[in-house]
Formats: sequence, structure tokens, C-alpha cells
Amino acid sequence: MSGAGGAGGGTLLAVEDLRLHIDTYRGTVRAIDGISFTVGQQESVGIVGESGSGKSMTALSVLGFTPPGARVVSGRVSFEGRDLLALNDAGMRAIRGARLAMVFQDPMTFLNPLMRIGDQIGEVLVTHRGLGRREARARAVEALRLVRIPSPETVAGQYPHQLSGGMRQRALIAMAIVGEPALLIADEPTTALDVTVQAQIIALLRDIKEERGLSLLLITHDLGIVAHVCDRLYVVYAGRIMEEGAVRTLFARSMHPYTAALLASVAYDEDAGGTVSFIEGNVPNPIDPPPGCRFQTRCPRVMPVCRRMQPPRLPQGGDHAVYCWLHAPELPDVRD
Amino acid sequence: MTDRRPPAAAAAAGPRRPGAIGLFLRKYGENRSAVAGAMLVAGLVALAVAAPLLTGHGPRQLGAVPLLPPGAEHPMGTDDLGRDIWAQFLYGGRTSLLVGLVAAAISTAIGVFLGAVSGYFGGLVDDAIQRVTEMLSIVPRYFLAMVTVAILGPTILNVIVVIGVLSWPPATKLARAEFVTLKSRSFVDAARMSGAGPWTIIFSEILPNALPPIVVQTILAVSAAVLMEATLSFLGLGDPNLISWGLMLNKAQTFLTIAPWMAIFPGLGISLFILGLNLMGDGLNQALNPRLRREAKA
Repeated sequence: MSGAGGAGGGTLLAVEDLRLHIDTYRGTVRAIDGISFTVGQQESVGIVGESGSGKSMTALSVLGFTPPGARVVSGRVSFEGRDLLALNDAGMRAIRGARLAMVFQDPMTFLNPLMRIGDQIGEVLVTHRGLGRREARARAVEALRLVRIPSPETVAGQYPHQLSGGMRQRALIAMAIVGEPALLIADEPTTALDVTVQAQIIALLRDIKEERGLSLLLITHDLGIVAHVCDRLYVVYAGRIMEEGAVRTLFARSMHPYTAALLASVAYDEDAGGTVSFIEGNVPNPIDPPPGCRFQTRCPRVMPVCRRMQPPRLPQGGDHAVYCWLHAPELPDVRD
Repeated sequence: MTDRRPPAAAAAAGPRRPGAIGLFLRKYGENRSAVAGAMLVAGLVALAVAAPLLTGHGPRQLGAVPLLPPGAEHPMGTDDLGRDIWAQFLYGGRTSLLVGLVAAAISTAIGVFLGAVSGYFGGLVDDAIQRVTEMLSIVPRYFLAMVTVAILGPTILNVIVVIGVLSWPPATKLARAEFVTLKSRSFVDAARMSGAGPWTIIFSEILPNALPPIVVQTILAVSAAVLMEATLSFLGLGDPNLISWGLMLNKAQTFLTIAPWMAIFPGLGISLFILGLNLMGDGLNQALNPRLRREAKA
């Protein structure tokens, strides 16, 4: 089933120059300001950023699910060769759940409290495959088994409040994979969970990705999770990409000051008792962003050019690319 | 966002043993006036259902002495034509209950459907439905019902349909409010993300969560419909072929001074039934609404 109808070059999802603006009374919020990324067949890609960097919004706009007031100003989202932004509601519904599924961050609120787990999982199949309730229920039990839920038959007949947080998150993952999608988007799938459970869920996501041969787009603020699960990584800041590349490359030789700062702020065991490094300042106001690089207000190595002009994408060999003037072969003349 | 988890979810915090229904019954049972209300309603329903078993007289059977006060042979006395009022009371209860239940079912079905569509889709659909609802709400309902029944003819079917069709605005407003809050809940997003269409979401995701207040509203709609039917009958617009409490009151007017029992018993029937339904409505509201319950504890 997986890989059917894939676009050429092994690319499953390609987002080009996506811009999403939200109109508010105080002005236009540039939540996503020109983000491009790709997810290959059976590839696992991470999008990492702080709160408010636009990473969740990026995932939602791929699914055609933008908040009221938000509009996609420009960009293309092509998935299995189709432009998702051009699809109408019915076309989008046919893809959601069937080819493209999402795992949400809070397992408490994303399950319907008055619906049995098995019925909630099976509903995807009733919607997309026209299966009968009974068969959908049987497949739901299968999906629950896949996400390593013990005694799935029992759990399928239970209500969300009867499950623990980790079990609910597993149920949500089962709900996402039961339709056998090609791409699974996970938005902060572990944020609401205990640390011990987080590790299990991460391992589960990785295993399922391997077993089912699907692609994974992981949205997170946690570099540790990315290191465990992802092949490639996009670092996003204030609606723009700062650096992209293979996880190994970025962890070993990050070139953007923001990536470096993010890596430095991960607290390791050996730092216990020591100081935790953090990034000074806050994400700039997205309503009226300064011209030039978005990270200029907090960058320790800011130069005059950073305050004037947006840095271009500078390929560094392989998948690695950085958006930073520090690595430009020559700087443009910025005196006026 | 305020916590509007339905009782099943709210119950998760407490011991899980009794199950949702057991828990509901326990909560409901704690409220004495609600239990009294349920008993009143159940009692009157039982009387109406078991009517033929409880009296040897037919409701229209002539022959006894007219205007007999309550006594051993006729526990509620007789009317001006010598018919047994106890029998009329029992059979009249059947009519009142039938009208109440069916009319409330009609008005709730229309109201919840319109409210759901209005609240879920929003925008122009919402505006259109809400304006129509408001227009219907500001027209005096009793007057409109009287005129309509007078034009269509006073049959039981007409009375039921007219009451049902004129009484949906409160259910619409309530369902709309529920749907507006519930549609922004995350599990609705999750359903939408997995490709569910609007009707699936309305009926299988949101509606079950909106039910508690709708159930309460339906109970109150039954009592309003019973009262409305009684009023119409009292004014001579009920079905003349069927005895109802309202019709009995109508006939009693002339003899109010010499045979007050003709008015007292059907009046008591209406009052007790409506009282019971309202107490039940309050009790259900408290047992089903987690917010009210918490306030009661605090």
C-alpha cells in the first residue's frame, strides 16, 4: 500500500515557499514567512523550533487546516503529486486520514470522551473505505495491537477516561495509522506525557515508521527526540527556516548561531548542578518583524547586513544548507 | 476553556466501579425533590397507562347521578352528565401525556437539528436559522397556536403538530450554544483531520456530548406542551372527541360554584404533572451538568 502514487524522485511531500498570514486587529501576523521543505518516501523529517516559531502552523497548513483568519498568501504544498492547497473540501477530506494522518499532542482532549476507543479508531475506515462497523472494529483492534497495547480487545471497548495518558497517546497513534497513510505528521506527540512514557512513545513511533514503511514529519521543540527518530531536520525560527540538513550533520557541525544556541541549551546529564545555557531575549514580534534575518535581535554574532537583508539559502554540500550571512561567500554592500 | 466534560469523563476522577449509569443514578438520588418529581411523573404515567384496570366506568359512560360529590362509588364525583370523573381523569391523562411526549419529541428534533446545523456551520446558515428562530420566538406562541388550530381544525393530530412545530426555538438556541462550544474541542479537530465529513462530526462526535442539556430541555418541553394542550382544550380548541385534562377544565367552568370537584381534579393532574417534570428537569440538570455539581460541593 505504501508508496502508491508517489511523486518522482522519491519525494512524498514538497512544500515550497509557504507563507501563511493571520489577520488580527493589531496587524498581520506573519506566522509562516516563506518555508520550503520536503519529505521523502519512508523518510523521517523533523521540524524543530521554539513556541511561536510557526512549526505547528506549518503542519496544519499541510493538512489544509488553518485557523480562522489565517490565509495562505503564497506557496505550494504538493503531496503525492497533487497540490493540496488547490483541493476543495471534499478532495481534502478524501486525503486526510487515508493518505495523510496526524498524531496530536494532547491525548486527553483529542479523543472523544463519549466514544469507545475501538469506534473512534475504526471511524476512519468507515469514512474512507466504507467498512461496516464490525469490520472496522476488528481492524481497530489490529491497530491497537500494532501500537503495543496489551489486550487490545478490551481496550477497544473502553472509553478514553479509562485509559492512562500513555495508552491514550498510543490509541491516537493507532487512529492515525489505521487508514494506512503514506505520511504521518506528529505534532509534539510527547509533550503532554511523563518522561518515561515519552521514551516509549518515541520508540513506538520509530518502530511503526519502520514496520509500516511510512514517512514521518515530526514537529517538536525537543532536539533529543529528533536525534532519536529523524533522518533530516529543519530548524525553524519566527516563521522562517534557519538551517536544514541531515540530523548527524547538524548535530556535529551546525553552522547557524541559532542552531548552535539550541544545541547548547539542551541540558545533558553531565551538566547537572551546573548552569543551563539559554538564549537571551524572545522571539521577535511576528506582527511587525524587522527586515533582514529574524534571529538578529538575539544573535550573538549579528552583523550590519543581518539587520537589512534576509539571508539567502546557502547550500553547504549534501542536504545541508544554512540561511545565515556568516557563511555567505561575500556580503552585499549595505551602506546607503 | 471551561471544562465541559460530560459525566462519563468527569467520573474518571472518582472511583470507577458504579459505571456511568450507576453514578448518574446516585447523583440524581441525592436530590430529594428530583426523586419526588420523578415519582410524581411515574405515578401519573402509570395511572394513565393502567386506566382500564383502575376504573370500572368508561370515561363517557352515562347513568350515574349528575354532579355527585366525591364518594365511595365515584372517588372524584361525577360531572353534569353523570359521568365518572375518576375515569375521565385517567383517560384524560392519556391524552395529555401523548400530546406532551409527541409534541416535545417533534419540537426537540426540529430544534436540535436546526441548532446543530446553525452552530456547527456558522456563517450565513447560522444567521438565517437564528433570524427565523427569533422571529418565531417573538410571536406570542399561544395566540399563534390558537389561530392555527382554529384554522386547521381541532383534531388531536393537528394539536400535536402545531404545538411541536411552534415550540422548537428554545431547543434550537440551546443546541446551537452547545455546538458552538463543542465544535472547537480538539477531538472534533481530530475527527476532521481523519477525514470525517460534517454530518458524521455533527451526529456521532458532537451530539452525544451535547445530550445532557438537551435531555433536560426536552423534559421541560414536555411540560410546556402539556400546559399548552390544556390551554387549547380549555379554550375549546382541543380535540372534542378525546377527553383531556384541559377539556375537563373547560366543561367545569359552568359548574365551578356548585361542583368544584369537576375543576379541582383535572387541575391537580396538570399541576402535579408539570411540577413533577420541572423537578425532574432540575434534578437531571444537576446530575448531568458537571459544573453545577462542582458548585454544589464547594
